[in-house]
Amino acid sequence: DTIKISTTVPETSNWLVAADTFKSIVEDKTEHTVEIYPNGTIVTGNDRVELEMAQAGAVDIIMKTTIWLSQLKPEFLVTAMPWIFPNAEVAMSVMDGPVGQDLSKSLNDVGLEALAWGDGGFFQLYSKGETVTGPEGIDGVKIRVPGNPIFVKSWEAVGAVPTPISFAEIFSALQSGAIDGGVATTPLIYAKRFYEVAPKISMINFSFESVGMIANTGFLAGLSEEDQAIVRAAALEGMKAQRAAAAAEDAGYITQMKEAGADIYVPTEAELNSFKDIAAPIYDNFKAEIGEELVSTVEAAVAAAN
Amino acid sequence: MNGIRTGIAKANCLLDTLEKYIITFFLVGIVLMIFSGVLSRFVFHYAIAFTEELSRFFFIWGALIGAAAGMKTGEHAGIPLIANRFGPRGRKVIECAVTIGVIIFLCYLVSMTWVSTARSFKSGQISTTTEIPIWTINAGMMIAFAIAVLRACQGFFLGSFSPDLDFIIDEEA
Amino acid sequence: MEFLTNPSVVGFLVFIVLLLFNMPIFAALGLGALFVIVFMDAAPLSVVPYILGGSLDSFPLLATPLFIVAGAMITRTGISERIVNLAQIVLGSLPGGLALTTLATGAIISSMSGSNIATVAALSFLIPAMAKVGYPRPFAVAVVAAGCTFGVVIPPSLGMIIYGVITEQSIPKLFFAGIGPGLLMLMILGSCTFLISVKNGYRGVPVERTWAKFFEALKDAAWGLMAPVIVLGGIYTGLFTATEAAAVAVVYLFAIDRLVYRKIKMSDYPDMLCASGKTIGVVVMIIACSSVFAWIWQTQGLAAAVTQNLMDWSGGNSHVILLMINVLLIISGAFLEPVAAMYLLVPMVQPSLVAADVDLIHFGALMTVNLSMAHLTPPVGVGLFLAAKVGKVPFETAAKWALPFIACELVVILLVTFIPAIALFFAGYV
Ligand code: NA
Ligand code: NA
Repeated sequence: DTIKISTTVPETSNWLVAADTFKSIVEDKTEHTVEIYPNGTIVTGNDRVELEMAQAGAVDIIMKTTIWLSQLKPEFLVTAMPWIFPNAEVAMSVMDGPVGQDLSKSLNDVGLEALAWGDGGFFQLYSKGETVTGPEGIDGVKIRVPGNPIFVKSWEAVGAVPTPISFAEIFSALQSGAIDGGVATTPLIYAKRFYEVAPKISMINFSFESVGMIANTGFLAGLSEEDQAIVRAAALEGMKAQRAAAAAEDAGYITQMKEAGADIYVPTEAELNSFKDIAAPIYDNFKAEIGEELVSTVEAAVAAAN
Repeated sequence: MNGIRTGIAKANCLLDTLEKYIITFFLVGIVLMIFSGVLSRFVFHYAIAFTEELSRFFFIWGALIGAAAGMKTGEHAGIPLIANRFGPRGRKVIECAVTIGVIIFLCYLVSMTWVSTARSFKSGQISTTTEIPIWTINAGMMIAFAIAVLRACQGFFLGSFSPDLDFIIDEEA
Repeated sequence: MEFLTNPSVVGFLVFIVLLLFNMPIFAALGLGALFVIVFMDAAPLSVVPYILGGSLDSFPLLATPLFIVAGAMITRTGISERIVNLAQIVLGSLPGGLALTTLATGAIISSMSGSNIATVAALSFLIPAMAKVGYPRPFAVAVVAAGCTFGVVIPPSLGMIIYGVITEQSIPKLFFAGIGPGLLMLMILGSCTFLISVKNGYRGVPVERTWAKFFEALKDAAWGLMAPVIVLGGIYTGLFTATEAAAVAVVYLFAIDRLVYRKIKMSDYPDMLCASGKTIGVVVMIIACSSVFAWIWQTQGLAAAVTQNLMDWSGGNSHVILLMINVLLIISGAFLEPVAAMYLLVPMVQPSLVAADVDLIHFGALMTVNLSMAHLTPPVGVGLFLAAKVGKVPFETAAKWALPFIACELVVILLVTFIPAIALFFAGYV
């Protein structure tokens, strides 16, 4: 049979490394063929619809970030909590462990299962003024954050003025001075050329996204046990390759942005901790929604992995 | 018998009025939301984020209700070239077949959107910005298609699917 | 033989047969898709509602209902009469003056309306006027129909919006890519009309051609003429997107009608909007059902097969590919509704265009001109059909008189094909 994988990101994204690896393993070891559809071509280019189609089994596998999955289950917001993960290695080790497995199980009742998790990147800070090294540098600064309440509340706690601008308008808002900066993942800062108007980039690892390879449970149940094992292993292999590709890509973008005149600052551990401390009250606000136990479990897992 | 006829006529009239005001509400809503987005950019130097998402949902609902309303008045035109070469009996047969085809397709859409509504109701999925439950979008589509079935039945008696109609395309368009 | 059993092809044949037997376009598309889903297992049944909803859930596409509403308001506010008065002072006394006036008015109306149907509605009052000065009725009908084909070529344009949504190209760039081809159309259609008029002795109309009269008419039309300035100026300066421009146009037309023209009563609005809503409904059902079809084509590998064949036949030469696609568009445009043609054909030919290194903005302009001509070409030419209905002329007669104009537009298509700069010159400014 054919296995349809959909994603709304373009062919050039490092997510496709996972899909391609998955395809070659599955086609090699089973009788199935794998068709990869990037750019959202078979889900009308719409993330909301893609998530619905996966639940309905209209596509077999999709790739979605934890932020999108939180529209189904709020516990997925745990990866987005401010400064909960110090770096991608720790974040991925937590997602590979019991936390990632529990999150995956929580999707079962809507007909989904996460086969494996990958690195969707950290939100980093870009700004126009002075280089931001700690919370005091961002006091009163207007920054664009995605509309999610966690992001808005976190930056309010840090002392910035979060400004809800639609993504398409960021560049011109930076030019006109309607905002002074914002947070986005490194590939986006590079691809959307935010660094040209807001060249001070602080690698503050504010909030993390993990990208899941999410399968429809009916599709999985229709596979032989042997093929199921192969599919799961292939997804893990694919996501391992994706993590390496993402890390290499980020490093490349940073070099290119530096060459283009951007100022890239990597804060010290103490500076990062001062961010985390000032955002700490946020944790109380969101523990009820996300689940107190889950947040503690993640914190313990992070401490153990560090 | 007469009582039933008047009842149907009244219900029909009510549906006409209802459709008219629902469409007006959604279209005016879209204009106001998008225009206020533009205004807010002049005032605050950025557009309000929620209007973009909500106006998209208004579009889906309003446009599909418009499509349903058009079933009754023969808006959804076909190409009568071949049908017109048949005699009156042949044309009537084609008209009946076309109506049945339209109704089959619309009934299929009703049943499928019923399933998608039920699924999104159960999963509790919400939209990104406005956090509107997704099932309301699917339910809106289902209601529009259900009205469309009703309107297509009415349209059959009014000759909406008749080949003799040629193209009835709204002069306003 | 294998080709003929491909679900994409079977579904398409079912669609064509249903279409020829008077099935509404959306249902013909939908049943064609359903047929191959049920009998050939081309897709899971559950796909359809999601593709239907998802294809409409797009912010750029929201410009569609707004420009349709704006078009209805342009017709009702009587802006076109004022523009006719203005154009007549300049062109009226030439041979065929009223026909030339009609074309110029069509071009100006098109710079505020987004569709050919809206433009033909705004121009159709000129048919009796032309008949009154002694032009043959079928000629008047053909001129109005030709005048409506500026509708989607000159920005704003529903066709460009839909193309931009499908191909993810910049809609402002596409809008501006329509200006060059639009002006070229005006020149060539105008010259042709002039020559026909000289040959057949169609007279001009007696007008007092003075600057005073001109400025008086200009002042009278000024509020209407501001609409394209606001819409295109706003898009050009990046002040707003195409969708926002459409909303601004509606609000602007509402305001000038309330404050100056006073033609539309408040109590008229629900009926007017309901009529627009039905038109919008027709368009969205075609969009939604064509998207289901496109889904099947995509997943059944038809686009890949078409690309392969186009590349083989053309040897990868972009001019040859464009010519072949033009022929395909002319044939589809003869029968299909332009929106459906766009939704069905663009995903099919886009990979070949990318492979042959054709600029997608250039192709967008070319496709829009080609499918705008579809409103003139028999057997199914919606613009010509509506004009013929208003002019009370048989469609076949009108189609014969439209032939010179179709020939003119073919020339425009060839020029735009071989000289990309016609489209890309203005697009370079946004
Ligand atoms: Na136009
Ligand atoms: Na045609």
